[in-house]
Amino acid sequence: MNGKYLFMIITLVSYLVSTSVFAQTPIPDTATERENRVRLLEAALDSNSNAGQQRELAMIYAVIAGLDSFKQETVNKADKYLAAATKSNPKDYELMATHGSVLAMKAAFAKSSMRQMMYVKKGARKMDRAIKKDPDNIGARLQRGNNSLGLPLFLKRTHFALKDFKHILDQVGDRKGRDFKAMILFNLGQSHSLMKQQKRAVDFWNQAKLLNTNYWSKKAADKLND
Amino acid sequence: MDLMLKMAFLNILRNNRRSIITVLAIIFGCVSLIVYGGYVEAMYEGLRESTIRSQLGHIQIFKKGFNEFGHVEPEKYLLTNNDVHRINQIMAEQSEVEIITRRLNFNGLVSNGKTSTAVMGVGINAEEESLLSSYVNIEEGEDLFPDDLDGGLVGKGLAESLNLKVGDWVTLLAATADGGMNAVDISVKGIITTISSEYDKRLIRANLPHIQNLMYTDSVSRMVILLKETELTDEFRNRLVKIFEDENLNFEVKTWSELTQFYHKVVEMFDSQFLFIKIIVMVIVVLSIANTMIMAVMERTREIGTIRALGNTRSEILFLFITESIYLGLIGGILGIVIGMAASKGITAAEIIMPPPPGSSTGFPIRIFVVPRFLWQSMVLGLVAAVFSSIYPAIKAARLKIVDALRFV
Repeated sequence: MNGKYLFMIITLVSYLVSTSVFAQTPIPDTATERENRVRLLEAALDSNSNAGQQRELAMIYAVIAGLDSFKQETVNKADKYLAAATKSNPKDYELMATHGSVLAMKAAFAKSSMRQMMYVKKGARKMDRAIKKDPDNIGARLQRGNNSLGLPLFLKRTHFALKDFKHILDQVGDRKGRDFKAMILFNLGQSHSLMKQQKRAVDFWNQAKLLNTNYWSKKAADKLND
Repeated sequence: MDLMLKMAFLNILRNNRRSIITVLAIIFGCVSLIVYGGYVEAMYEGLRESTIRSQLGHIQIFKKGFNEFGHVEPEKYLLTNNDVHRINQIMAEQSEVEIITRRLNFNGLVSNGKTSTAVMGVGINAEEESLLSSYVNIEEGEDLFPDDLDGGLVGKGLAESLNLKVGDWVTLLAATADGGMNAVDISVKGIITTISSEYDKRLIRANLPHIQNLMYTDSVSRMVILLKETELTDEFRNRLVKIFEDENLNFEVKTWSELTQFYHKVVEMFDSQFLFIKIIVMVIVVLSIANTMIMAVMERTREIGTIRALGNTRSEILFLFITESIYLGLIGGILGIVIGMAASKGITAAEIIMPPPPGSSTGFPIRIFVVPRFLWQSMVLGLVAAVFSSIYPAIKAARLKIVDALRFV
C-alpha cells in the first residue's frame, strides 16, 4: 500500500462527484465553487450549526480531500468534519460510509504498513456498518463499491464492489440516466476483471459501451480494446 | 605513505578493466545480501504481524494457571466479569494499548445437518475483534456485527468441508463450563481466511454472548491486547506483570512470541538459510577477486620488479596491493549499497503478488526492506572479501625476486 495505493484512493474518490447524484447535499461542480462554499460554511460554523450544515460541510470537504487537494492536512480535516457530522446525523448512512471512505484514505499518509492496515480496516468497518444498517442506501453502496474497487487485491474487498454495484444496478436500473448506469456497468466489469472473471467483465463493458455516453462508455470501449 | 596511497589509487584507475570486474563481483555480493536480507526481514515482519493481527494479538491475559490446567477444569480458570472490569480499568491508563477485547475459546462439533466436524471456536466482541484481527479477510458474505445475535464467521476450509454458504445455518455443539453439553444454531454471515489454512479448516467465530449462552457462562477465557507498535510488547508485558503483582491480581500474561511456535521455527529456518547464502556469496566474491588479483600480479610482474629496483621494500609492495583492494572494496561496497537499496525499493514498488506460502491461505505482495544492519554488513563483507582475497596475491608479489621480475615475459 504505497504510491499505487495512493493513486487508487485518488481515483476512487474522484467518483465522489458522480456519487453526489444521490446525495441529499448538492456538491458544487468545480473546485473553486467547492472551496467558496466550504469557506462560507466554515465561517458560519459554530455551536449553533445545524445537522444539515454540518453534513453539507463534511460531504463537500470529503470531495475536496479526495479530489481537489489530496493532502494529509485536508484528509484529516475531512475526517474531523465527518466525525462531527455523523455524530449529529447518526442515522445518515451515506455520511457514515463517506466517513469510512475518508478514514481509508488516511492510510495513504500512515508511516507504517500496520497503521495503513488499521485505517483501511476502520474505514471498511464503517462502510460495512452503514450498509448493514441501510442495505438499500445507494450513496453508501457507491462509497463502499468504489472504495473496495480501489483497494489492493490482497485485502480481498473486491467481492464487496461486485455485490454493491450489482445491488445498485438491480435497484436503480435506468432511473438515474444513462451516464449513471454506464458508470455502474463499467465498475461491474472492473470488479469481474479484478476477480479474474474476464468473460463477465467483457459482457458488462459491452453493455456500458452500448449506452454511448461521453465518459464511461468510452472508458469501457478502451477496456474492450485492451 | 601518501605516495603509496596515491599510487594504489592510480593503479586501480589504470587497470580499469580489472578494477571493474572486481568491483562488479563486490557489487554482486552486496546487492545479493541487501536484497535477500531485506526480503527475509520483510517476510519475518509479515509473518509476525499476520500472526498477531489474525490470531494472537500482542499480549494475552489469562487467569493464572489457565494454560496449565484450563483444559482440565476450564470453569476454574475463566476470567470473570470483575476480572475483565479490573483489567479494562488498568488498560485504560496505558497509552500503548490500541485495542483490548475479550475472547471465549472452545472446542466443539459443528454440523450442517448431514455431517459434523470438530472445530476450534471463539466467542468474540465483533466490533473490537474486527479491528484487532485486521489480517482476517472476508472471502464471502459480510463481517460480523454485534446485532447479528446468532451470526458467525466460518473459516474457508471449514466452509468447504461442510459445503457451507453464506446464509446457511449450522449447529454448534460444545461442552459447557460446568462439564455438560449444549448446542446452539449459528447463521453463517461470512467466510473468512486467516494466515493459516490449517486453522481455517477448524475455525468458527461467533458473537460472545451467543457462545456464552452455549457454554452457560458469563466469563471469558482471555483478554487480547493489540498495542500501537509491536516493538512495545516486551516492555509492556514487564510493566503489566509488575502491575498485576503490585495489586496482587491473579493473572497471567503471555506475549505473542510465547504463544507461537510456528513463527520461531520459520525464523530459525530462514536464519540458517541466510547464513548459508552469505557463505556462498562470500566464497564467490572472494574467489573472483582473488582470481583477478592473481592475474594482476602476473600481468604486473615487471612493474613490481621495477618498483623494487627503485628501492621500495617488500612490505611496501604488500601495502600497495592491499591498499588497492581496500579501494576496490570501498568503491564496490558503496556502489553495492546504492544499487541494493534501489533494487529493494524498485521490487517493493512493483507490488508483485506472491502465491500463498505452504500452510497459508493468502498471497502477499513482495516487500523488500532496506535494513541498516544489512547495509553496513554488506559493506564490511565487501571490504573484508576484497582484502582477504588480495592477501595471497599481494604476498606473492612482495616475494618476487627483483632480477626474476625484471626478466619476466
